[in-house]
Amino acid sequence: MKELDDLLKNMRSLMRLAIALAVIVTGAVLLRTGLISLPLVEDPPTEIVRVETAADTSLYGSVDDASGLIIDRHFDVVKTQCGACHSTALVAQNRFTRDGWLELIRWMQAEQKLWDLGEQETAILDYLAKNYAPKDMGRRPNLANIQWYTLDE
Amino acid sequence: MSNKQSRKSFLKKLSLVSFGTVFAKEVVFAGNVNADMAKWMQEGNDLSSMGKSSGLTVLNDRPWNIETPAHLLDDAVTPANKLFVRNNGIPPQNVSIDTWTLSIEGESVVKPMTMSLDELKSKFKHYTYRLTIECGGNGRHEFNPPAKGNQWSTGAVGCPEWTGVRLADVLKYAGVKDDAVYVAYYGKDSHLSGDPDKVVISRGVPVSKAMENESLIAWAMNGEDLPEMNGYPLRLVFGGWPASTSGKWLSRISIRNKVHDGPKMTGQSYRIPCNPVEPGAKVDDKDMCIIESMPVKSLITYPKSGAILKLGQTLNLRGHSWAGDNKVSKMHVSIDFGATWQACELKEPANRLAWQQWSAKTSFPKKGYYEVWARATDENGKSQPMIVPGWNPKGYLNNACHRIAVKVV
Repeated sequence: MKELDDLLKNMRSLMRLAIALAVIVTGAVLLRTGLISLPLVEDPPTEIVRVETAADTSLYGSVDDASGLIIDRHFDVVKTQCGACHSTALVAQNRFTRDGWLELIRWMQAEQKLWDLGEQETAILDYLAKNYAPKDMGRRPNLANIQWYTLDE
Repeated sequence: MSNKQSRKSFLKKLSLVSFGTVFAKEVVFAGNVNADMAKWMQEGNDLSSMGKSSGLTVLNDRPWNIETPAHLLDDAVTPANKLFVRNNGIPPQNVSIDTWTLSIEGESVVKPMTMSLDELKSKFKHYTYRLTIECGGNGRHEFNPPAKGNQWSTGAVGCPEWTGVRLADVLKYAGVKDDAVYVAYYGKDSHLSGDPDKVVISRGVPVSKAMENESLIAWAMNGEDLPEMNGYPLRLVFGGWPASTSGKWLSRISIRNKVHDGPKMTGQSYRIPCNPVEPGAKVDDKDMCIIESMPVKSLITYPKSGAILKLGQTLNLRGHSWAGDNKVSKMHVSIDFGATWQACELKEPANRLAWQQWSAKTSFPKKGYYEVWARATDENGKSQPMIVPGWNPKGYLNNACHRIAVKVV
């Protein structure tokens, strides 16, 4: 009797596994063929965007006019991943340590629907920590970018 | 080709091509067409299509965050095209004033109700006030270590003339229960992620602030419809408090029986440490307190920084000063980094919570580089600090003295 019970139990779990697999495979096929689609925002571009650095290394250190970002290794990854939801100007005007940038990414993932960045997270952090690290400004920086003009009254 | 693949090739192209495709990218990602942005792109980054002066500084185009250089804020009443923009999401498109409604709801409303704009305008008496609104993060760019977010310089402030009805009149009409604590807003802007159910921002004020005479539900700025970027067709205006309390594209007001808990009301948003902390400190959410009245502050709006004068030439100076819920009682300028201060002429505000105009004349003892620093003092004797005030994690409330560069030749 006990052996029969065990056999039935095993068969039931196998059946469940088979059903689950069928659902997953069918879903995957439907997705592949485009018969169903996930909402765009829920659909992370992690595996889609395998952006390789297209920028000419001779341009490294200069600023990209279109995005306002410094051109460097992994610049295109940052431009595409970060620029997907918000202006890259927001990236370029902020400065943090590597930990600070990571904290910001985690906050965007928790609160603002940012996707899992996968292995590109490291590339993004490398770029940001190098090019957008904090500067010690003291308690009050000097006035900068003064445009001089003659004042006649 | 599947959705996924077409997007993949699109993104590949995107990484190699120009900024001009950003508009298309937004459609792909958020499913949300931002017409203003499209226009901006087509017209060579011209802000006039959204009703803003081209002299303004764009900090962010998704969402739009635009500030006004100090010398463009010279008018006593800020023109619509010179009022800063601080959007958290995407403004509603194709607004129809005929179908727009305002609902009054919440645990502590006696009679929940919904009214049209016509009803709102015909049922209640109209009031017009000049009210100063300033973003809580204005001045953020000077904090060290830096705080995340739009790195506002000095230009997220303005004082237009607003017309609307008193929020208090509407609240009393709907009935406010004795247990009411907070008055919150919901607007019709949408989240950047494209999720239609995600509220962008929903903040509010305690009932006492909501009931003040100058707390308005406004539909007009300087006698005209509100600009699209500043809340058309309806918004709240709470002068002297972080401008994020003055909800734009207003559609619902909720009378709460507790401190409101909408997005950007809780956690660290628009809050500062209840007790002062050292620069760079981590502060638990429970130790963060909501910002209410903004601190005393001033701007030099004339001349523009960078003026070159001849030795002996008199320099005329002017600007505005404001102090949250309070009045400014004294205004000073210094040409020697605070070693000596000169008193300025200071006007009374046009009404409570309007910024005040100041003016002064000064001259320089010898040739060289100078900075003119301006310092306001409020009616409680509090002055602007010359250095950046107490560090806080989100970089709010920098009211350090404004300064301009001057050269005498």
